[in-house]
Amino acid sequence: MLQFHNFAKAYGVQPVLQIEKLALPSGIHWIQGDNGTGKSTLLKALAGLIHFKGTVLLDGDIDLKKQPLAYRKRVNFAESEAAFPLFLNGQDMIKLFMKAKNATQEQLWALINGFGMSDYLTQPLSSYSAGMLKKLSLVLAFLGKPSLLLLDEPFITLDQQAIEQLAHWIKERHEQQQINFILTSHQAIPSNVPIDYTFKLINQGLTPLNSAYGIR
Amino acid sequence: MVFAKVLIKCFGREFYRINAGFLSASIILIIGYGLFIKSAGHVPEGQSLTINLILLIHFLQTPAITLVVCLLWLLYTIKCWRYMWKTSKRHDQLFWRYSATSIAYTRQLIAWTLFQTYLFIPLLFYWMVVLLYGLYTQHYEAPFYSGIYLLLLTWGSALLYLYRFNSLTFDQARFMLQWTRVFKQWPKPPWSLFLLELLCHGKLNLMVTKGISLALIIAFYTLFYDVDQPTRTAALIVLSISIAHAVLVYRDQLFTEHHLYFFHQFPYRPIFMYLQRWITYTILLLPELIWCIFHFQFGTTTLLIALSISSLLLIRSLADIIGQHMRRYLQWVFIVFFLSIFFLLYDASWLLIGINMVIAVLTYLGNYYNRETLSIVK
Repeated sequence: MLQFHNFAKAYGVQPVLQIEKLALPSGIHWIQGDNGTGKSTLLKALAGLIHFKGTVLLDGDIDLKKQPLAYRKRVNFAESEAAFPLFLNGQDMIKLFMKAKNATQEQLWALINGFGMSDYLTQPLSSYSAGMLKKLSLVLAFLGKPSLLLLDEPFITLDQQAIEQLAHWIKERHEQQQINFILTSHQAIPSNVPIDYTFKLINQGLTPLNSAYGIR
Repeated sequence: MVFAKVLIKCFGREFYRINAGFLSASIILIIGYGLFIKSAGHVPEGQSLTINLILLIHFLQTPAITLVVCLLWLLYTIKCWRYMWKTSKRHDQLFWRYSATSIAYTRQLIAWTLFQTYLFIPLLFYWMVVLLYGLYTQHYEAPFYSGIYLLLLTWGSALLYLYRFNSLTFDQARFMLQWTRVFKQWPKPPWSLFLLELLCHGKLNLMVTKGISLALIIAFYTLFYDVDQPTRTAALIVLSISIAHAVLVYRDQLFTEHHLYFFHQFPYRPIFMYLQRWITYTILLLPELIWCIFHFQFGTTTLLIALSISSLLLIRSLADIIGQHMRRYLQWVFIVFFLSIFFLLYDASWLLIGINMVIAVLTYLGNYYNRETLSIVK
């Protein structure tokens, strides 16, 4: 599903990530790591938001650097803590993302109803709580037809009902639409999310933690 | 005194750091007024000091100039208030409300007065020079009344901060909510977002920039109306107008990096996003461009429009390369400004426009997928 070749990311002279060769199979991946180990940096790099050295291939042939548009059509990202312009409202953000990711109204409303967001979509983002903003960023990440979803700390600040809903969506999207997920979290993932592979970010590299994982 | 020291450390230094560009630009404008506009560009040898002293004499002897200076001081004070109002809402500054508020009001007021005095250092410096010069020339009234005025501004500010930090209703930006209601139903394409950000959070910056633009246009009519080379003069004025927008361009860079980072994740061609920037800056310069259209012939208008937009795009590419280093950015803006003047003085305006556009486009395309860091700032 995702292949790394000589992947390296540094901030100045400080190396943060170094993954020489790795192939992540299809499935739901959980990347663990202590604070500051580079989980968010990895996801931002995989989302195409920051530059890195090396190659990342999606589904064997879509190169993040050589085919940036094709890659971005198939990879969506939700940041840990979104910082959208506060004068916009939820609807404005949704319009921007729907246009960019070619999402349908039907898809949108299923997501909005699932999170119970319809009451406050027209309110400015400045009035949103951290949980409301988190829900919005997750809805935006599910829009369109991605084959890979990168979710950075997806369960933080969500209420219990929303956590269950998100866990259900992850499971359902993976089983029915074969969407792959990379989740980062330093806390436990809810048990109803069927994690296929678990990794830990140690010494700037990804170390597999479960035996089911095999390098292709 | 300890409380005042902490206030200065927490707010004062950041205020000067954020407003370094504004303060440098103001000083350059004042010196520029003294040396170039007041003297119509001709400074006899050894008289630059005399010409700058003329400014002080005007302050002391001309009520209109005294009023203008007092108005500028008031604007600076409002800038201080805005900064404090905004900063007081930040999460990292909420601790003041359950710590410093337990100190007696009088002690708080004294600390805030000292703090505001620290923010007023540039004004106090100017006032001290005026005072010394007033004593020397036996003009006592203007320094006396302006000193009282400064004192009132200081106490007024201290009272405002005292109220602000002891008030319980500080959390919501109600004014912004009203603004967002105005353009709630408007379509918001990517190019419009920075303009809306300016309307919500950058009104003062926008007003000051447009004020400078207006002053430059007025200077064109009053000081340069009978020059031999009106096109060259107009090009210099338009270039200065673009450079006056440098602070807004810097704000755009910050805003894009911190709040519009998600556009990089969209499957949009870089050239499409560049077109958005082009539209944003064209609209930002619209009042000045309309002035060009109505005042000049078609050929000159085309040149001036191309010059203004290409200069703005070039300084934006500087902001992209330099990142969040205001001082270095401003130094480069001034280098670009002086280099551009050479091109204009040698009537190589179209060459300058071409160079600006090529550098701006190449920088943009070269940087688009090569961002090293992403600072998502709430």
